[in-house]
Amino acid sequence: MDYGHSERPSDAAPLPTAIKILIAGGFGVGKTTLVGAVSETRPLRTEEVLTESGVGIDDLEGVETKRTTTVAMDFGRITISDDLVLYLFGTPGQDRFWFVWDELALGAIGAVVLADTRRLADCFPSIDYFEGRGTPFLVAVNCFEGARRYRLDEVQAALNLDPEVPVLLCDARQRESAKEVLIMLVEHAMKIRAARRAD
Amino acid sequence: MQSVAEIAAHLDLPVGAVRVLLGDLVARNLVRIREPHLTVGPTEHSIFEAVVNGLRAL
Ligand SMILES: Nc1nc2c(ncn2[C@@H]2O[C@H](COP(=O)(O)OP(=O)(O)OP(=O)(O)O)[C@@H](O)[C@H]2O)c(=O)[nH]1
Ligand SMILES: [Mg+2]
Repeated sequence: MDYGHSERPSDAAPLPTAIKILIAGGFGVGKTTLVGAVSETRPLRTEEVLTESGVGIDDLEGVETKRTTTVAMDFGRITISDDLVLYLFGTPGQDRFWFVWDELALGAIGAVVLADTRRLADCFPSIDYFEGRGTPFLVAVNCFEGARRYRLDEVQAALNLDPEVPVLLCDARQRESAKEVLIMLVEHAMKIRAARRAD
Repeated sequence: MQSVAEIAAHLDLPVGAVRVLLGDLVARNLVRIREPHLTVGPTEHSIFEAVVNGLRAL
């Protein structure tokens, strides 16, 4: 609606640039833990209530069933400077919420796909998704106790990753480790963007 | 500056509801929206470098 104002609030103070990074991976792989390890606030949980068109018995009568579901998302923030803020978004674990991902992925510079070597296949949907969208991503293997240590090249081969996709080990609970993951992702995204620009 | 997700979490409201409220505030010029959008070129490169350096310094 236009109220005929031409001035806008606080035009003088430039808004900070927002950088968005996604933290994806299978159920219980450590997404919330990683967001919490580096975020300056405790990870916030936001809930989105969704109305789904269900395909049910009612459809036989031509009546569409609707039910609501709640999707929880993790959210963290790192203030780099007065004019630069990094946002971390943990993606919802359930694969059926792809449309939430689409919104989350919009404008994201890249994604961390967390993997657990005891359940490597759980991160396939995330990898497929970011490959399909052309979102730069890396795979961070979260080292749980009791999990057999794999070599990084074994993980790369098992996940059938492009050789240029970085794979590294991490401990999602450790701030330094989580920082290293994010730094590697930003550097990787930089490289990919530079290469795309050169094409 | 706050993201929509952040506001939703603080208010303990669904993101969808917050988006509607913000839409009204934007219409009244009380809130500005900043898309997570990057300009292409040297600026982008320097922003990424600032992020890397900022993370290292954390
Ligand atoms: N040993 C060990 N435990 C971890 C590590 N990372 C996370 N955990 C534990 O694993 C459990 C799951 O971690 P979360 O961070 O909740 O995983 P998530 O990916 O957010 O899970 P969902 O949101 O349910 O998909 C928690 O009990 C964590 O404390 C790790 O690096 N090592
Ligand atoms: Mg979680």
